[in-house]
Amino acid sequence: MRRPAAMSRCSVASRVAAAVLGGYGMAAAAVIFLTAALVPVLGRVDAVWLGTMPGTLVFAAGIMLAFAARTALRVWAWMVGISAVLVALRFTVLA
Amino acid sequence: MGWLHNWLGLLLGWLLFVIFVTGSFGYYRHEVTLMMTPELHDLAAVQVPQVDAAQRGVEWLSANASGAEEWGILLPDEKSPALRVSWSGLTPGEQILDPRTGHPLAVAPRQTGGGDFLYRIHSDLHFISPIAGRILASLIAVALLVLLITGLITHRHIVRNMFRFRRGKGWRTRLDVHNLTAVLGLPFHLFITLTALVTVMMLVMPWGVASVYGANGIGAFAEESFPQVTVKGRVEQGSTPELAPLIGRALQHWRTDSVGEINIEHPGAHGSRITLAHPIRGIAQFRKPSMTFDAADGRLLGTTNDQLSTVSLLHSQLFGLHVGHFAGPTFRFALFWLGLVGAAMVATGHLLWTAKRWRINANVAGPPQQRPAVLIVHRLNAAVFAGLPLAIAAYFWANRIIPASTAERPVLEQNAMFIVWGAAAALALLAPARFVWRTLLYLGGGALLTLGILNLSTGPGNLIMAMNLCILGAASIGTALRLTR
Repeated sequence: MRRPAAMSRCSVASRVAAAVLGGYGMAAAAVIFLTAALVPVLGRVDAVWLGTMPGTLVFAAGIMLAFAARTALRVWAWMVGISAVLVALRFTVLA
Repeated sequence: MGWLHNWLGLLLGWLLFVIFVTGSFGYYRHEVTLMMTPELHDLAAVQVPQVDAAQRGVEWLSANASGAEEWGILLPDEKSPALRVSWSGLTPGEQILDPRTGHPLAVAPRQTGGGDFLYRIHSDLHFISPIAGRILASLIAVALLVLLITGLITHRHIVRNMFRFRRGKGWRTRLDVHNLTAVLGLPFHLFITLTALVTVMMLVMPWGVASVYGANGIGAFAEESFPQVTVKGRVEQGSTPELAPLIGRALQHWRTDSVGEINIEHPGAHGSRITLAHPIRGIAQFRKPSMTFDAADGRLLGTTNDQLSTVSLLHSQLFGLHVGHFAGPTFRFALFWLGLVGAAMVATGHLLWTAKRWRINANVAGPPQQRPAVLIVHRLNAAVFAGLPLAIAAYFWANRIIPASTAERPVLEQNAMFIVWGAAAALALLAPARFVWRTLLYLGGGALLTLGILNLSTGPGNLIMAMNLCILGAASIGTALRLTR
């Protein structure tokens, strides 16, 4: 990110897509995981309220991650990886 | 991170400016409505005990809306001095009453969009469906958080640089103002962004609800989150509700000195219930406590939001912090101006963007050729940053000029605002930029200043709005004067 001029158009497009789609997907995965993890502790209602709160923060973090990483491919790898792990945990360990 | 800060800011800055400005006016929602209803200004000095006003409201409703399904009574307070009654059913309606007499005022107050209209632009935008506007505004809130954090990273010495203000140095001055408004307002900016995200999170992130309650579980989730009193009142005919003892019990229960709105379901009929709402004064809370009584004998049927769980209280308070009902006059004043500092931060960010790309030293003879994109941004800046204050001034002035008895007044007021804004934008796209900036700032500033003075002279009730408009107008004119140098 030190030399933005070096970013090709393709890279910019890929990063923007990763920021919007990947960032949102990662945030949704985090919310799904967190709410499920909190249900046993707080009960349904409060688990959803508290578990949703960090969601928008994860989205914002994802947007920044998309432009901070060294290559666009890495961004996608991180986002898909994190989302997959969170959703997998939700439907296995927390099922 | 600088790249992201520049381009995301450029893309969303204009909308962000509109949201900051209208949100600031949202803090004075009721004060603006009072300002735009001059017929009520004299009432502002009047103090009527709530118990008396409530009883007068009930008497008027009994005489004029006896068959209604539900009555609503909004008691006078320092922000809104009139007694407002409403009724629903086959022929719903509302009426503003004089709290001293319980009768309609001699001069009927004009219809106006008031502060609610500006407040609604803040949350729902305009010209698109409210739900689409709200989703867009929510995404802009996410983007604002990104902008604040990337801004802090980009300007690493931001706090130190705040003390090094360079006047009259072109883009460096704009950078310094951008930094100054960002750092001075930073606690506010972060607080307002994070709490904004709490207010909109269920709209952009419904996946927690879907995952726990199922795809169609939003109804069940809402029911569990916001429980209602379900016990019905007893069967009793023809009773006129006695409000005074119920108000007394509510004041004692909440330890407050006033109550909020009062609702009476099925007045005088089967199962009638009376619900009193907490006034939400001095506390940051979004989930209003309420008490529901049996209208026949005053038995307490139930309360809501008295004992919230820790998480529900956290959500309620974060939401409440954003809307600012808790703020007293001084704090509210600070919030209003901090919101405008945020707007100034956005505007100077844009001015910085164009200034850095403005071609000054052309190697060829004649004026330097600016790139079309830079020119468009340059002109849109004037249309939005100088045009919106003028448009809001037009909205306020239209409210004064359009005859009080005109039908559809609120629509005409809104049209005045958007027509003036459109004209300002057209001017900004066609005329030389410096002329446009000066003209719009002079006009807007002059309109706001004169309106402030007019309001100072017409009643004691809206002193604070009058003062704010005077300061805004003077600041606008001051900026225009500086531009001429």
